[in-house]
Amino acid sequence: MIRAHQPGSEPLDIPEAIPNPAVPRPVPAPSQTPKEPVKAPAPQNAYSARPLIRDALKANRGHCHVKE
Amino acid sequence: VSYRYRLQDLLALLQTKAATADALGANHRRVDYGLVSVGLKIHCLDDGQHFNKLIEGLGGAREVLEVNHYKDARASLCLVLPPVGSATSAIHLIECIEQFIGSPIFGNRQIQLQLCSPGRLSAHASALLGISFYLGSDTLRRYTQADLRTTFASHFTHSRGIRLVLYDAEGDFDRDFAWWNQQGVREPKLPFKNGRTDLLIGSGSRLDIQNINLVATLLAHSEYNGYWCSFGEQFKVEMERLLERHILTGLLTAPWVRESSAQIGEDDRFFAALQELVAYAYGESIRVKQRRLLLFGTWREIPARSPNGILEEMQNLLSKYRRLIERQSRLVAQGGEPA
Repeated sequence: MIRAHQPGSEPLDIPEAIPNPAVPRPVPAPSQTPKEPVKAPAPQNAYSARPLIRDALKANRGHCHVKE
Repeated sequence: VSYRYRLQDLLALLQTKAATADALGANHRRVDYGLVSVGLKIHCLDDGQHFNKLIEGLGGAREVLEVNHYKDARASLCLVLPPVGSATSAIHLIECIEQFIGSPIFGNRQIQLQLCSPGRLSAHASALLGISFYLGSDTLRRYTQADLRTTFASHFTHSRGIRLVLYDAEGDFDRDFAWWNQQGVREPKLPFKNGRTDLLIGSGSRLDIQNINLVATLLAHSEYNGYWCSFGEQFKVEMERLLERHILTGLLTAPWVRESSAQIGEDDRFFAALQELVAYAYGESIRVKQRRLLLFGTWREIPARSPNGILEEMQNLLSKYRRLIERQSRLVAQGGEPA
């Protein structure tokens, strides 16, 4: 760093090297972002594992009007 | 004699830590797009300990370093690398050395790179080479005369002065690289029996090597009637116009390279010209930043889009000639010439 200073003026810091603004900066490689957790498929017997919902659905079937 | 080892020995050593070094062995004489070959010198400003194993492996300091009396005046050592056919191979070679020594060479402030191009350019072309390198680099540098002082600055028989561009000292010269002559014939040897034009890059980058190789090719082909002669002539004219637009034509009259007819005070005349170029480029850089601030209100890291800025104009010029040479080379490859 070179410091140029004249009495009565603000000190001026002149770096020894600066990036050339006309040269595009190399784009950094995208960082490895952690992947979203993958939803595990529900086990085959998941339906029967939730008896309350199953029962509610069964109970509602009687109220459905299905055209045949 | 500036080195006493073969490139094959260096590559065999590098392979122990850099697996891709063997690819260089097969391709190191291959010339890309008819561009000139590339030589490199690595000046080490610190104690150079990380080069110890490499130097020992090549035969020791006596064989590798002490045969070469030339180096940056501040350097502990100067490693001269055998020339290769292209900028790509030169970059690859440096990357392999970086892996071997476990320390960066590109962008390292303790390492000063010197790029050697075959053929002595005229004083005018040497000025264009130095200016093009400076404006085209990805780093704008400030210099002191100490940065450019070498052990041959005041040599009795081969004085090179304190310059950015240096001629060879009539040492080793490897001619065995293809040269595309004006008729489009690929000659197996370079047309120069001896002679180089070197450039002290300082702390350098891959882009610096590519840019210098491109410009040195254009200028050498223009002065030695190579295949790219017309592009070289056109490049010279465009560079002169660029400097004229920015009222910098006077820079071309400075002694950018020390010729045999040098006079007292030329080192200072050159350095004044270099400082003018540096000040202009730094000023331009600040102007571009200020304009960006005005346009966007806040600072943004985007490439400069200055319509008339010298830095952007230089980038456009280099891109233009790189594209022209690549396109013409593809046509040549399709048409079967150079033979």
